[in-house]
Amino acid sequence: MKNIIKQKRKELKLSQDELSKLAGVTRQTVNAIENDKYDPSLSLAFQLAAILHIRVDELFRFGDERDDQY
Amino acid sequence: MTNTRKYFFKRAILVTLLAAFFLLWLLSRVTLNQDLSPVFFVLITVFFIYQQKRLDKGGSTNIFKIARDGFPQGLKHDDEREAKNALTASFFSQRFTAGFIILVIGISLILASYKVIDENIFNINAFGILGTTILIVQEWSFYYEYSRLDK
Repeated sequence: MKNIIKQKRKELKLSQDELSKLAGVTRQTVNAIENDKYDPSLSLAFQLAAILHIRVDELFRFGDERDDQY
Repeated sequence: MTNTRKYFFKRAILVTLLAAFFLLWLLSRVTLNQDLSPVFFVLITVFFIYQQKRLDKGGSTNIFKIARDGFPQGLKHDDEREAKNALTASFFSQRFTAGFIILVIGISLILASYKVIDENIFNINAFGILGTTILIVQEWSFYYEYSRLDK
């Protein structure tokens, strides 16, 4: 899943730390989402979209699914 | 280091200390003329209560209850990514610990069947040592995998 969180965050002059506090997650999680290392849950995705004043389908784009194996 | 990682590290340390107490108990039974079992039993009980109280401060510790996010309540985490990592780490830890148990018991049985070691090693002390070692292996394999994922 690709996203434009970093771009939108910078437009709103928010740091990763500030965004993480607004979303109620850790800074590391925001960093992982921005770098496509973690796909957020639906509720977190909507929360991030609301904070960044953008629609969720504009914030996230499906593609390049990683093949996670446990 | 995130708070959750610190919590898991603290948990691994406390479990290791508890296991070390238990191993000391077993060693004292073998090496000392005097049996200090009641003293060790009290010591371990006190330490176990202390450990539970320390870990309780980290959050809810009922590992049997599932929270709304789908993860056990006892899995201390600050957000969903950490919960997912902790769950993945627990899968790894289960597999690693099971492999360790099979390996240790398997090698012991092979050695015993070829008379390399005396079959008398399969006693209560061996059971205790295996149990405490399993605790240590389980906790540290969990912490190792969680740390690897938490980047």
